Amino acid sequence: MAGVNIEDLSKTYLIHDQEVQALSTINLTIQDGSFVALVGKSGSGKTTLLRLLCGLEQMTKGRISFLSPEKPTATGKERISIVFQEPRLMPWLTVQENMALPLIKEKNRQQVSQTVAHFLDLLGLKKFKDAYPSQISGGMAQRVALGRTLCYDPDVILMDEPLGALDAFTRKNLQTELIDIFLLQKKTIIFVTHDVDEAVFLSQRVVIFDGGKIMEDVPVPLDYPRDPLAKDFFQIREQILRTITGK
Amino acid sequence: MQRLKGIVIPLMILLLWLIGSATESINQYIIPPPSRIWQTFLYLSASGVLLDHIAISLYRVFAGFLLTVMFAFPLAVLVGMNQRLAPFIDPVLDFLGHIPPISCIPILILWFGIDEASKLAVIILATFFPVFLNTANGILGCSKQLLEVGDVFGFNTWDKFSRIIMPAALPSIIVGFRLGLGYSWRSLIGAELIAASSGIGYMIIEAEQLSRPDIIIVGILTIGLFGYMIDFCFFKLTNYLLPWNGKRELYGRS
Repeated sequence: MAGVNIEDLSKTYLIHDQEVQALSTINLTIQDGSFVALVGKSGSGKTTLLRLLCGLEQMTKGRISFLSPEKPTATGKERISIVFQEPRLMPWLTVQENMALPLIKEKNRQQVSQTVAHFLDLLGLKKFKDAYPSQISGGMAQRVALGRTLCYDPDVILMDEPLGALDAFTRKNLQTELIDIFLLQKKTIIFVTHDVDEAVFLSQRVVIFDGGKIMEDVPVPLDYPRDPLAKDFFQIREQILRTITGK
Repeated sequence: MQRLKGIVIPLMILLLWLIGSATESINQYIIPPPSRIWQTFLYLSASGVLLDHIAISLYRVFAGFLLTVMFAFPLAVLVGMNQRLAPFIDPVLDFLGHIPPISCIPILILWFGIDEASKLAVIILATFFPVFLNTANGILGCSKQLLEVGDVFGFNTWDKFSRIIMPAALPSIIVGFRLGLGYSWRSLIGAELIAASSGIGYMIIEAEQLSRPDIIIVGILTIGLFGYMIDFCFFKLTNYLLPWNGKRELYGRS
């Protein structure tokens, strides 16, 4: 596991010779083993931050370090994984083969089988282990994508609106499963969402983005499992919505 | 049932042919009756003539196809993986792609003689483009999103090539191989019609000179039948190599 320390992070894209500032001087510290949600309007820089964190984009300025109590300095070998909005499963691999994909370099194949079997069981995918992605539903595919990330055993899990494309019922189920996995695994999770209710339901802290900057950092000091109809839940939700809409 | 539907039109043509021959409304010298075609087929089969011609034609097709794959496939992988090479190679390929292989036969005969080499060269010319273009396009068309998954999991270039790019390109590569095999069959017959001393194409042109339309029709039907059989085998191979395609069993997917 590892925490994340972001210092003066900026990202500028060059689009048709025009500089577009996606992120501007972001400073953020995320504690080891915490669940943080990033919310904000489209284009506010949430996804860009995740892509920078997992190395899919290069930062223009600043510094990112992944720190843990055992390793006070970043080694550069921290495992960061991301669950995208789309499952991005390999169509030619079965469910269990997709989940084993990050472990191709692992020599001990028996260990790989055991790891995959463990997460197939945890995510309720055992029955579908030999199915191909084209044969399973969107919710199941997203669960496989989560399982693939868990098999990788990353220090930090990034999630870019992983439940955004799902129906309300499947989404609710997966939110509950995600909390169970978080409580069990205690991984650092950074979760991007447009849905304020989802952010308050899942995370311990909600960071609000707007125009590539952090507008507010709202703690969510509620115990799991959370009741969206509870007064505390409602108040935090309203506070976040007020910051986002500016009303 | 689906397969039975496929024989309705051939049966109707056969029926019309039979009626036309029985009523003598078709000139039997130009189009002999089906019975004579059948007898000629039996005779050519029993004497081994047909099989000899088929064997040599098939040998040429597969040898030419194999040589093409050995040449076109690595080149396509090279171009697909190094897009900087495309500006150098694309104009040349565009130019060559517009030249019908048959038009090269005279120069190929001058270079390689009338033996096997010129026939193989024609097949290579005909097969190169579908194999090369489909392989290169399959590699170039690999989803960036899937490649990002490899990046996230720390895959190196070889991992990405072997685990993501090649499996993603496989359907397109197989289509290229299938088209290439069809093209090689067609171009071979063309080459054998022009310059050969054996093969189905040669059998047809020799029959034309002997005024034997029955042998010509047997030759044409044999070409069609073998082309169909090769394509069918490739289709079965495709299903075997791409097991994730065309799955009917569904789990929670409507």
